[in-house]
Amino acid sequence: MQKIAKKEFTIALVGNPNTGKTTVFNALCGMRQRTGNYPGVTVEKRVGFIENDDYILELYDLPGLYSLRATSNDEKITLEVLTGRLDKSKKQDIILYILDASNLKRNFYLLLQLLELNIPVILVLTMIDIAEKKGIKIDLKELQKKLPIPIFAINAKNHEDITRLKEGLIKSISNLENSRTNFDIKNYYPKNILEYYNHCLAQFHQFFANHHINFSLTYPDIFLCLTDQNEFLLYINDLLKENENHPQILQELKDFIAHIKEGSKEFMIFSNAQLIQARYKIIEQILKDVIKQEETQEKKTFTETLDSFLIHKIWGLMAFLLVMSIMFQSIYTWASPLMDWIESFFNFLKEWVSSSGLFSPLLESFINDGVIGGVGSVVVFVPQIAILFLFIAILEDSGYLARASFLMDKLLSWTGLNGRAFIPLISSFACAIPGIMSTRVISDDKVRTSTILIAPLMSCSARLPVYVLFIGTFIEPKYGALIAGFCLFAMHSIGLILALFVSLVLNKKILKTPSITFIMELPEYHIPSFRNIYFRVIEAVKSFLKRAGTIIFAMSIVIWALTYFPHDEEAANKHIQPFMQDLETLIRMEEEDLKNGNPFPERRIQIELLQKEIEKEMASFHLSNSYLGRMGKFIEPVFRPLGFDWKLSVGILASFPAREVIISALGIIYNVGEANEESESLRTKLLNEKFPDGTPVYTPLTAISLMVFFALCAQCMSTLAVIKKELGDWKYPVYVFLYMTSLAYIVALIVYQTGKWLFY
Amino acid sequence: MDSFNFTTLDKIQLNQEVIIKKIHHNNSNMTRLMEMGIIPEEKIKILQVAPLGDPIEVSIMEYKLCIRKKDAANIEVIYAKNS
Repeated sequence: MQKIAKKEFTIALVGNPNTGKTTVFNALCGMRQRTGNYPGVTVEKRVGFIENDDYILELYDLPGLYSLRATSNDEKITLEVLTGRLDKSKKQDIILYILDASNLKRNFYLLLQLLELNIPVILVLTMIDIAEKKGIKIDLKELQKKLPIPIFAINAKNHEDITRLKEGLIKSISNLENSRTNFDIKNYYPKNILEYYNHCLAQFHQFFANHHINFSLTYPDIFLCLTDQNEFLLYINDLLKENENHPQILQELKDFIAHIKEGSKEFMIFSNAQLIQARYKIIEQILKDVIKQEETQEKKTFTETLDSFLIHKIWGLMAFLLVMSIMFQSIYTWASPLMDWIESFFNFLKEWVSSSGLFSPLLESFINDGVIGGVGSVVVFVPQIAILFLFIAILEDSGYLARASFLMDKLLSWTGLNGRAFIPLISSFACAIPGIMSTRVISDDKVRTSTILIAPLMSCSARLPVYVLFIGTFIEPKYGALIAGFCLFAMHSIGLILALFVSLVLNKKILKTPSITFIMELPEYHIPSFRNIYFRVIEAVKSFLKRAGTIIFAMSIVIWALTYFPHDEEAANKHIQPFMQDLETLIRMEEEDLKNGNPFPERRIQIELLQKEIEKEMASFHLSNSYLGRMGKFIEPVFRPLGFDWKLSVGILASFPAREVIISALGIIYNVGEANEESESLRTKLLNEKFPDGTPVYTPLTAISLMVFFALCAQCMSTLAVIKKELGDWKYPVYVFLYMTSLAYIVALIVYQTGKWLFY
Repeated sequence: MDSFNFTTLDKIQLNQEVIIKKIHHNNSNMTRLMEMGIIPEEKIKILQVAPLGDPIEVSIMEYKLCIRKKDAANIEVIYAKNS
């Protein structure tokens, strides 16, 4: 038998947020799905497949939205995918519209807009059980009569229902091929409104034809044009970008729109509100005999009962604090053993490379400090990302995330942010990377951008070792535990407080977001779906490794090269010459001891100590003479007013890729070998370090100045890479780097100079 | 009878059901709210006020929505007759 090629169809999954759309998508496609990004924007693209003997169906899980009025990235992408503007070959064949049956009226609003697009729509009603609990009875037969399109009622968690939907989907597709129904939603529209829309469409068509632009508008475009002219022009601007006369066309378009709007009165349309109300009138007409609201005895639903506790003035805040502290603790405590394990695994690899003797010193350093170190610095973030997303998926899927945002909105509203920004910001106290990735829960693009830009100012856990070292060395011994504790608290607060002001300036002066507000549905509580959580976590980890990971890895190699080269062996040997002479003397003495038959065990210890000393001296010499070290010396005058000497300057430069590196860098610079924030030898060295004129380098004031600098500076290339990934443009990490570094410098300068003036 | 008792949504007591009369439609946010069902003739009531005084949770159509008082002040309402 001859093999027939399978027929391919693209299907767009559309729905309001919180309708269980993603649950349906995951249930339909199972593991056969992949994720990516739409070109140019950072809206997540999820595509899944259903296949049988005759068909291949490609499903696009589009973002959840309430309207096709293209004012946010999510809405623009949805409209572009549906109309095929984004990719002509991928015009959607069918729309699968998921509706929440317990909330039909509002869900129908977007449905009308979809039906206006003239793409076949299949309806899927979910949450019938919740509707019934609310006393809402839906007459499916009546609905079918009013809307002659395929309609399914399913429970997305029921396996049989999903199989039935899959079969039904394929059946309706084969029906579509044979006979196009001539159902047209526009028959329901009031005459004046329909005429006005068609009038506008024709006028625009004429306008674009006059300008030789092959471009057609849809009803939702017209609606956007009438309700929000600025957004419409922005949108058209994006679409016309490639046209060379587009500034001129846009100017003409402005006048043209004014003309069209002027014409609305002829059609008895006096306000935009009328257009929205007209849609809801149609919905009422359709749903009139479909929905039967039974009188409930005003009994509180499960969600209302839970809410009277969870958003209560006192209990609500306490529950919120509890949830946050559990989440925060878990990121710290669950992730750290995993992170330690990852670190020791990579250390084991490094030791193996060193001891194998297979590689030249250059290659060994490249493999260990460049490649393995680079991969390690990517993988080490995975546990935190996975755990944070596990929590976020549970909180979001259950409906609690919306309540948390509701509780916290007021705290952030004065800065131009809204409640949605709270969890990303609090997560950034553990680590800015998962924090920034979690800004995906923010639906408003501008709020999301400014949240990402301030998140790195939150004092992440990598700053903690720096605080521990300097507070433990300079503050605690002198001023006691109470002041030390306050100091630690102050370091965590300074970033947060400044971040809020940065956000205020950003939103009011730079992004200019006057109309930012907070409109959010509070969905019914649900038991989270295991499958949704699983995919959420896997996606987060995968996209981090794939897109941010490659950038972090490449940067690691560059940084390695800067700290390794020029690696002048000859100069280094000359530098350690005096030590070598001592060593030779010691070895000669040991040999003599042996010859005299008088072995002296302490001699061996002396030799080994000196050998270690030489090793440290070599490492220190190479680092301070590397390109990075030279840059540190060169830049010292810049850091002097902050109270830092050249060694600290080298340390600061070396820790730009990752701030926690400062401790091991200081360890190398001060010849104490491998160091951590608790090591006594490093602390003693720091306390005794003197400037050439004999004054101590480190005073408590220098320590504070340094900690302030670290609290505010953008010393984390992984964060910068993630910002690039999430906002899709290199200019954002560049802004962040510049503003944070200057902020750090200025504040540390003020602290040091004021302190010096006051106390010394 | 205070059937002429117009006021705005931000000034309504908790759980008092009112009817939307008019939307002061001056920005994109209000368009969004109307699209989400806040339109004249619909019943609306405030269910909760956030612990810090803003935003508020309202019940509209068959669902619950969180909005700021600033936006609620643009929603003109009238008391339902039987209350």
